[in-house]
Amino acid sequence: MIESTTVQVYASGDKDFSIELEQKPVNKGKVSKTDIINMIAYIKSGQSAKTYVQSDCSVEINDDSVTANLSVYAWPSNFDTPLEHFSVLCEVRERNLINMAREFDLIVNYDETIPLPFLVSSCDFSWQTPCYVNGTVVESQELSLVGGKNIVIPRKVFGVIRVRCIAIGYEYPLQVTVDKDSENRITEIKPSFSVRWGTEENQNSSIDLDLPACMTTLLATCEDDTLSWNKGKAKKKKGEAFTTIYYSKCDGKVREIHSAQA
Amino acid sequence: MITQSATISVSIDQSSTKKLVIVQEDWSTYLGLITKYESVSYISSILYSRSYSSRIRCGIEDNKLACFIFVYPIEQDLKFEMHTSYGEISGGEFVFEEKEEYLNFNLSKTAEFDFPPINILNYEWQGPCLDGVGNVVPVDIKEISGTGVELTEKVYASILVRYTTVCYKYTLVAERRAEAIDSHWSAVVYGVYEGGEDFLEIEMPPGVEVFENDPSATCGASSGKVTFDEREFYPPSEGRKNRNTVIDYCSQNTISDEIVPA
Repeated sequence: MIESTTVQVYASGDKDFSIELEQKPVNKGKVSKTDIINMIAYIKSGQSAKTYVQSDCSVEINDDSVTANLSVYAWPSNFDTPLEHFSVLCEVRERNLINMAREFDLIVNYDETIPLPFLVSSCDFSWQTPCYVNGTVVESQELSLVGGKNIVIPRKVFGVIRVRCIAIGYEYPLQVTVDKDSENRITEIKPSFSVRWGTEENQNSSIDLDLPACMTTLLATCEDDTLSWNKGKAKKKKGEAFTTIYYSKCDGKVREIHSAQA
Repeated sequence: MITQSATISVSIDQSSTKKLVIVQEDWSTYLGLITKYESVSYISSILYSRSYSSRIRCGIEDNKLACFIFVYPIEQDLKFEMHTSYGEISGGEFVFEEKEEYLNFNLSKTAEFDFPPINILNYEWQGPCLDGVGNVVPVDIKEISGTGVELTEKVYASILVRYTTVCYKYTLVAERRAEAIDSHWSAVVYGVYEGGEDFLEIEMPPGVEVFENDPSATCGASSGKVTFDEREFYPPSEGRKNRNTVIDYCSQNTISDEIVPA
């Protein structure tokens, strides 16, 4: 699942140029059951779970900062137009040309030409439904790819196409580094990425970047800008092992679990 | 507020090209995510060797997506057939519903219903009608049609309308596409009738990316990558409260319902 934004631009030099920016999915969840099991295993083996980073959290923890590695895919309608990139609160590394397999449905609602969301090097498509015209099934229409970008249908019909293709575009690796101290609260950090292909005001496209939720958990602070932890104890029986769970006083996130003899 | 109580027959707007309003069951009743209650129960079951019974509902079970589809014909006697581009759609049970809806007029004469009414039970003006410069102006309802309400003047106004409608309830079940790269459950449901087709692209349940990326992910079982529900805060930021509800034993009507600090 990729969230995306598309800007269609009709500028004087590149009147049909468009570019779609998509962020490579980040882990939006906080802690999975796998992580909980891992954290319990840490504790049972005598280690603290405080430094545990969840399995699918692409975050590096340093002494005084946390760094998230993100990526943005850019899908231009042609590769001749020069692009310039800009970023807010993140560092952009050298872009890579990528080929990525994609698969999705397209609804044909009496269109003769359907633009694909990206240039493709190869593409397979097939009807998922019969073709209809005004409620009547008609002969299945031949589909053809034109210019690596558009699917052309000879007759206006209704139906659904399944598309499986190799998309060509750029990947921009990005790094967001945040101090662990409380001055830069995570709620105030809104990194973004933009590309520009001309000097006109509308010759640019930008995307706001999601940070991994595990990063926001790591940096969660209280209203008074302090990290603060409560603890709750659970006893099984008097004299037997009890468990202490440390959780954030601010948002209730479980940070550490200890089992110990009373 | 002025309440108009009446049973008003609704005329059908024949000029509308849309003949079917197709609506998918709201996924908000599904979690697709682990709540903190769920995770604490799960940790507790591990630590204290208790049995664990999940309350999670994901919308995807055993790699099958299942959801309800509601189809509201704008013309009651319209003959139509429902189909899907992927999976199986079945049912078609006739359901009689009562709806309550706010129709807002933003310096306009018309506002549309979300669903086609068959009878207007009553309506309430939610304040005075204002013209473009803020003067209160007298306005009447000119017509209530199968698609909306038309006023005699362009005004800022809001009307709460209670009406009855009918729909047909279907069930869509789709297996995971084993060979797909992405969009494993994507589907378009559509109704075909004489003269046309109306369709709805199926929205995936919350947390579907977990299942998209991991074919072995299971919903609410003892393994798999399901994530915390960010909307739920634990422990609650407010202090404990008691809810006192008094219900009449015979009628089951609520006599009083108050929430007080513990």
